[in-house]
Amino acid sequence: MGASVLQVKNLRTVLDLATGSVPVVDDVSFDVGAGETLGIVGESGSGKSMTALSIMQVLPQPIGRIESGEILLDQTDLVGLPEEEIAKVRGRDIGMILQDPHTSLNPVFTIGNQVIEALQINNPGTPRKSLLGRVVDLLRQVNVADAERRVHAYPHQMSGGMKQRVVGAIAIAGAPKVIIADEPTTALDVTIQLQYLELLRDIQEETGTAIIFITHDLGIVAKLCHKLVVMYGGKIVESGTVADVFRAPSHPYTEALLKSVPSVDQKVDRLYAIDGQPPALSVDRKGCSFAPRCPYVRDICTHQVPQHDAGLSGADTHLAACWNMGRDR
Amino acid sequence: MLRFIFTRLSHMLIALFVITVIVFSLSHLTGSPIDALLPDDATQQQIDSLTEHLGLDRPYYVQYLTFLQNAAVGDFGDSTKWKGNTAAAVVLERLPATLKLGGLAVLISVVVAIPLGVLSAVWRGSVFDRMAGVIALLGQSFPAFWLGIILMWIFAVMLGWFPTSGYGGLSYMILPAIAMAWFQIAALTRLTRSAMLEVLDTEYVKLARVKGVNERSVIWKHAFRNAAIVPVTYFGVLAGSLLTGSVVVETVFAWPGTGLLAIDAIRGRDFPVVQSVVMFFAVFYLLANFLVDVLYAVVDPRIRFS
Repeated sequence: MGASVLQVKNLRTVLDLATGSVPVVDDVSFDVGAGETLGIVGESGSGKSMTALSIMQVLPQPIGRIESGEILLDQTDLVGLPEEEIAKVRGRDIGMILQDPHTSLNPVFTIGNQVIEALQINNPGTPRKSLLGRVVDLLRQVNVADAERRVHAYPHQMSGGMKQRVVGAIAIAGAPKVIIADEPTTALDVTIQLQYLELLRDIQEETGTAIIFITHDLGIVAKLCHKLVVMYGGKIVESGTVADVFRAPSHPYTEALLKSVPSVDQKVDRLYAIDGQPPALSVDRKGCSFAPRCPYVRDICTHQVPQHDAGLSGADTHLAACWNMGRDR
Repeated sequence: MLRFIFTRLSHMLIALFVITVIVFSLSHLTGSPIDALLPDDATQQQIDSLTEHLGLDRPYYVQYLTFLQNAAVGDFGDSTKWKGNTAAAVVLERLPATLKLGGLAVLISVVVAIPLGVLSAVWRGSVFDRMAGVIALLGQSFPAFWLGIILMWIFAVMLGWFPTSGYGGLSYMILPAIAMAWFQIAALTRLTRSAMLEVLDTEYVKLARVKGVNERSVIWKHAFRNAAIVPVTYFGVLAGSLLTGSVVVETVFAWPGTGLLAIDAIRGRDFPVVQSVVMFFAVFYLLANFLVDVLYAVVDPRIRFS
């Protein structure tokens, strides 16, 4: 694991709604190195996808914008770069895999066509014919069976797992330094999920790319990731290596998430569920956003935002933002 | 693909059959043509002999089959108003004028409405979008005959840029074509806009962006290819309504096409010509919709391969 390829510093992204500017990503910082996999974990609406869209700068227009912070790719800040420069980063330096393979391929173009397009962006001026061989190689690399024939297929003629492999092929077409995978296995069958995760790991081993893996599945994080950040209400509530966080979850939300994962070792009548709803988007928020659902809530939690502190594992890479840390609970 | 075309063709034949039945029945509902053909003081003998001569004494199904047989070769009888011509010849003579005007109107509609719809979706909420909305609202509110008269008044009478009416070259066609096209521009713009809005929100457009496709290709290649199916659908309606629209606009501008012919033929109780006009319109409408079906398949592979 080398130096950081991608470093996000104090990122704040807002949506300009009729009610005002609502922060959806708030003071988020993390970094990921070559060959390293970072998991971003959280419920729907926790800001994990918005973080990914901010990095790619494809936020919903015209309402989404990065308000402050830095996104450093090899020490170059992407925030504030003109659109033409950002367009060169997309697909070339950072590849992305979206959640639903059934909707993320264009239904009117062949698979080959869509992979070729990605290759052409990275090799401008190269005639299409000469790229066809590369397409077949890429499809083989993501384990698409019968690749020579499949290049002429349309998305509706393929299964979800196959389509997601094609999306993977598009993501790696530019040999990116970072791949952002936004819940890539959520829409797949459980049996296919595992295959796909192994595929991602193989690609990483071959190419040494950094992966940012967005998920709500802690099981996948344990299997695939080296470190993780846990997001809640647009903020990072806990971050650290997978080993540290799983061993000593330091934020009540992380603790609750880990408790709500079913285990084969323990037989329970009812799975643990976190009471209440994730916070709705709002303009002004006071205190810790998890406070309304937190079993350990105290007075200070409701009106002052907790800062990041050393987590319970004691490791200096392990941080959590909670007023109750270290206190008996 | 061949099977697809074959199925569509057979549907077209069924529709055509129904249309012939309707045209045949309607012409009988309007009363006996004998009354129109003979003077008021005709003797019973004259009436009987003409009835027999025209075959009107035979059972309806025999008459229908005869009608069908003749219609198949384009024979709808002789015009009673334009004497010495077959009804089909009268219609065919006027058809190019209507096709020219209708073609120009379709061209104007598509060339104006598609970019207007696509760009107002891309820049939704902008001044451009609002202007396009106003253009569409006006188009859908102005009746074609009224718009025709107003255009004539402003651009022909007041400004003198175009001739007021009559048959001639491009300068004669522009005002009636705009009068016909504006309503279609309105409908087509709104349809294209909403189709584009929906498509621009899809995951594949997002994927195209994150894979580094430039914005122009995202809009015109990835998004519009998918949104196009909606305006293509409307093309069938467009073709049909330009024919019906021609009846009104050709009358306002004294443009000697089939629309004006239909009005003249109805006024002159020239049933063979009315029948031929209706049949020509019907066939044209069916062909336009058949073309739409084929275009569907060209645009969308999911239709082509199912």
